[in-house]
Amino acid sequence: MGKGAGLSRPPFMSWLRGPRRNELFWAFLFLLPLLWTLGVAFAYAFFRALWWSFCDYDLFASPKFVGLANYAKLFADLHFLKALFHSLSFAVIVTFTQTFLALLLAIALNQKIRGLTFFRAAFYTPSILSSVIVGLIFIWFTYRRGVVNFLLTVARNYHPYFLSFLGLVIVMQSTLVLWGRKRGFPVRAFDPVYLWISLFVGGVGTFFLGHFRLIQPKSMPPVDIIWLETAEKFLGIPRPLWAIMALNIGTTVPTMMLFFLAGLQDVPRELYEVAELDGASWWAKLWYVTIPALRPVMFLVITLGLIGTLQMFDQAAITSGVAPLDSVITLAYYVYWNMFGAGGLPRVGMAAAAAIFLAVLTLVVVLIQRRVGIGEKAW
Amino acid sequence: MTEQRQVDQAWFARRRRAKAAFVYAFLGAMALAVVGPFIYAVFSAFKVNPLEWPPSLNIPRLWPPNWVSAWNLGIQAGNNGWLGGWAPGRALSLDVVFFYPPGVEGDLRVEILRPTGRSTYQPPDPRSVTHVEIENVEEHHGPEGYEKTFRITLRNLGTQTYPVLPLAVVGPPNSKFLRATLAPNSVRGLGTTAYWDNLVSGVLGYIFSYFIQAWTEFRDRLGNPIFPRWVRNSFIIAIGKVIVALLFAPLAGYALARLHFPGRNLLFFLVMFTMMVPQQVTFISNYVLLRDGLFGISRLFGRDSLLNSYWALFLPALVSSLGVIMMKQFFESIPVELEEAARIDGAGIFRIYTRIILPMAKPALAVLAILTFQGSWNEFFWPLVVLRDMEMFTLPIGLLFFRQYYGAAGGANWNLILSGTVISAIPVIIVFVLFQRHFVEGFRLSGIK
Amino acid sequence: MKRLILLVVSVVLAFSAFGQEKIIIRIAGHSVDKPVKEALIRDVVAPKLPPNVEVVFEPVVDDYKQWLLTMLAAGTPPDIFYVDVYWAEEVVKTGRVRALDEFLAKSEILKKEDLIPVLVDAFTVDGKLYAISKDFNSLVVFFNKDMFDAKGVPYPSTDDDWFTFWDKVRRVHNPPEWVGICLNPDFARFLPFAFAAGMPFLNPDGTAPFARPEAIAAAEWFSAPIREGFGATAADLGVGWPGAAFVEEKAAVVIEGGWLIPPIREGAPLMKFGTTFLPTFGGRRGNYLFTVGYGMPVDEILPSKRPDLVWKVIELLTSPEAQSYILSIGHAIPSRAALLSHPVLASPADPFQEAMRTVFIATGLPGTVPFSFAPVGSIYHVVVAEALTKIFTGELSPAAAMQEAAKKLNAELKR
Repeated sequence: MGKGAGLSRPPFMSWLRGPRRNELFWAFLFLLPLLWTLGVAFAYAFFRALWWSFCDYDLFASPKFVGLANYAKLFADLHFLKALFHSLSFAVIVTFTQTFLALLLAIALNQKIRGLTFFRAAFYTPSILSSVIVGLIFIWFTYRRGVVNFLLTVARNYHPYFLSFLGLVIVMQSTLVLWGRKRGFPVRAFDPVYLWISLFVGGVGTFFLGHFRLIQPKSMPPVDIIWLETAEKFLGIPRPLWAIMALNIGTTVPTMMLFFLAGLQDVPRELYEVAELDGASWWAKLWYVTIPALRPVMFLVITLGLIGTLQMFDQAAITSGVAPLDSVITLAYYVYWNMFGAGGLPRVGMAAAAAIFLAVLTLVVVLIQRRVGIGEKAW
Repeated sequence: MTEQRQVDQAWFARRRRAKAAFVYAFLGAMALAVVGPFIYAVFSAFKVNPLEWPPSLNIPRLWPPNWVSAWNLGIQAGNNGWLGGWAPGRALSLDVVFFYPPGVEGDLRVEILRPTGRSTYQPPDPRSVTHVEIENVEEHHGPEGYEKTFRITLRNLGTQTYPVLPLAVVGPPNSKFLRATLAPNSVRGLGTTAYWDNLVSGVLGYIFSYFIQAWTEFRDRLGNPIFPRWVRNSFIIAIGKVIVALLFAPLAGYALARLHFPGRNLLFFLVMFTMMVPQQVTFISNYVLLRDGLFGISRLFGRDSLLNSYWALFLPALVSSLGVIMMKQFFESIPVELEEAARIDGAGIFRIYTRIILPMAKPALAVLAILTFQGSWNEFFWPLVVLRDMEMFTLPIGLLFFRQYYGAAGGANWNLILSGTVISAIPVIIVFVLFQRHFVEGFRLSGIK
Repeated sequence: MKRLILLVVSVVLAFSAFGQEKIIIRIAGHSVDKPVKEALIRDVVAPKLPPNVEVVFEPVVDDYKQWLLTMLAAGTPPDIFYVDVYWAEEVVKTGRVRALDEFLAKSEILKKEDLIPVLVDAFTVDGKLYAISKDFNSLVVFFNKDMFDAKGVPYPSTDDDWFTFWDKVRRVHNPPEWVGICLNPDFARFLPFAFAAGMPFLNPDGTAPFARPEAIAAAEWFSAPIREGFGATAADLGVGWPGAAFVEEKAAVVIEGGWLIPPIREGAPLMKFGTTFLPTFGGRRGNYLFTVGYGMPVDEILPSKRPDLVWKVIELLTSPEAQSYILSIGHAIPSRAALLSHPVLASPADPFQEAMRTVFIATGLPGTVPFSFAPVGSIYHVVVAEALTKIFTGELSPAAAMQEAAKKLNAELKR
């Protein structure tokens, strides 16, 4: 963001006279729609919400000032506390998991990739579709007798095949690596060429084992995990929320990975070459070259990620018809629910207080990030 | 101690290629994992019961021999292989094969069923004007019993065209339905009864039956289908928003980039700030604003409240902060010299804007248009708040309602829900495929604000 | 003279203008009812109303009860709204629902005697009637005749008691093709049997009745198919509810209400099935009455300000003609007693009409209670549901589960 490159700022009065007046007029005209939006739909709305958060208001009678009572009631409301806990855990878990997964994958896959357009198109699919579409397919997939449980059932029934495949691959790979080293080649443990051979052998071997019935798929009862229509918790967080977290992470990691990949490929080759000359291992290169280079980008991604996930609303609203409210409620949904969901009249005071709280929380997160972040150019 | 062999470049090259192969394989698997569910959802929209367990890919409506049969039946019924329709006087024939275990005797019973659906819109009922003939065409003896092929000929003795001809064919007790020219919708009665929900749908009507059903079945009081209205609403709003964005965002962006006025930095900071504040803070006031008719202005036009209208979707946010910032950044990248040259030539601000700046902004405007279209098409929260009338819904809200209506435990019709989902995804996918480059540009810009 | 004519003319004009004023009567109900309601209004109600009156159905998409409570509290309800027996008392207690007795007394086409008594009781609170039942449902036994024929088992009948009934289900059980019965741990299916066994709603001293021997015996009987293996839950069969298992021919018997009729019609129109009453225990039969009625807000907050007109619309909506119309569409079973002589119900021509007749009669049998848990509230059935789930998964024995339920309810009641 450039400051108007060293322009002097004439005193305000001079704006109203002279040549600048023309510019002021046009600026005002050009900015009119923005001023309307910022003024009415934002500033006016923001301050009204702030005012109402200190009032008792039900949209029909006039608002009654009650001071901080709403905020106190918030913290006494079990639904709010749950929503707060859910939003915080959702934000932290999803943001950090997706960022680090994406980073790891980008590092692992770091090389020139052709046909990136095709992959990009595939990875961007969930982002361009509406959250309702993604959500509905998600609900359908996670039905008790749905695709997810079906795949898990098949995986569980075929575990002898997986185990034998894995075993064959390990045996084959170790043999090849040891043999290669014996012959004097500088073979690494996960040597790609040998690995392909091992995988092939493992696959063919498993196929024949199955063909000759030395291993057989089990027929165990179907996996019956209820993903959404339950209030059960895992590690204190409701299972439906875990499912939504998995959905978010799964749809974000691919595109984030591409983003990091582009960033990685901007890292000057010279840095790596210098490190290699100094005899650095892959771990040292990672720690001393790659990660510092990506730091600003990472901070940006984490900041944006935290903001976005703290304000998660869509998935909670879409699954709230299927999962229990208290298992998917987030701060944003809590606000909506106080206005239009709960019994009786809209509780505008509570909704506004919760919304202000959410805004402040977001601001706090951003400020913390700014303090901790170093040298990011993007702000 | 084995010594290191001198390894040539080819050896390393092989390693590199093998690693690259892994990278591509992994990316491919990831692409499959991301796109796979949507593709499967599209396929399942053609299933009779997408909730079947175990899920299978054996989908009659996607099986080409059935397409040929549907075409033939459509031609027989009224010379229209594509859309079908049973014209007066036409006859059509369906071959069915039943298995008769030893000792089982008896003829087939053919019944025309009353066309049904979830709404009270009833297609014309062909029951009273259908003439049925059954012929035993072939018999195969086998050690376990007979396979008997019957030809059922149905003739329309009436005077009007019937769009729907539902059929049930019942074999004697203990017989089993095996197959027919056109795959039935379901087989019940312990195997004796095969049901078709429409023999004269034509190829398109057959393949896309659930799409057509989702599009036409749900109707309003006057008998007009509601789903198309949702599509129309979404289009009108999206295109409207694109036009509004293309008009207003560059104006604001240019003003912030190149015009000088007091409080410029403050304004920019404010714009950035709005992107951080969640919609949940501002929506309450905006909702009340619309409910009260925008300070009462709407009363001048005869409306008490602007809720539930197109206005409600346009008004509060005329300019998106993201659009403004994007345009500002773009304009800042245009060399100042161009404008200065124009000013020296005596051009006013407005002329500079319209003659020089805007034409140069085409790529950025393209990105803006696409992002705005996609954002508006998929918008969820604000329409959810302001739209209460079913006829005014946009597609995302309508789909949510579809799930409630068709997804309830007592009779789930997920094929209709999935069909609705696919239909609503088509416009965005088309735009994306055509303009992928611009999308990615837009996402990148929105990230690096 | 001229002035007089002018006066007369203007008065006449004023009156005719008043008469021409457009009146809109709004009915609010569940969104799933939209198609049927609008057809009903278009074909049966609107023709009988003066041309300046328009009746509009406004479907409610969200939680209907919450919406209604909000509207009543805000003073902006619709003219007519659905009232579900399950929460009727809660809504009536807001004091904003109009008692309809005076209208009934004056009405020419709708009299109290016309309605089935148990339906009148369902909506009577503190001696006053607050809603006119528009349709109702209760539980009956659905059975697949082909499956019973295949196994040579006699059909369930009205003579069956609990033991002969399970005996038949055991004999028709035919794994892996179909199970004897598809049964979910559903309190709404279990409680009628518990009541038939003699369990009261609450003990005379106001404590939970679930630990009584009758209740435990009912729980043991009810869960027998799952515990002994001649039945399965809907999830076990891979379907969403027992009705789907019945339509897809995965179960020979289910206990459902008239709402199963449209899915059968849609999925297997030629299915040979039969219906009969629930089996008895010691000569006693229990059943639940599910019903929804039309209610009006009190005059002060009636939007159209024409209570008489609104009542007329209710009369038309529940008139014999309207109920006939609904009956022939086959969507629900209407509330007028006289409809028993309607051809559909008097001489049923197909299994569907027979089923409707069975439901209709079953509702009127002694032992049928409205589906309502006032004054205890939903906690009552929540603890029962939890107990049933534990019994069905084998986590607890019927006795232990029922005792746990009694403890939980007593703890809640003490509060």
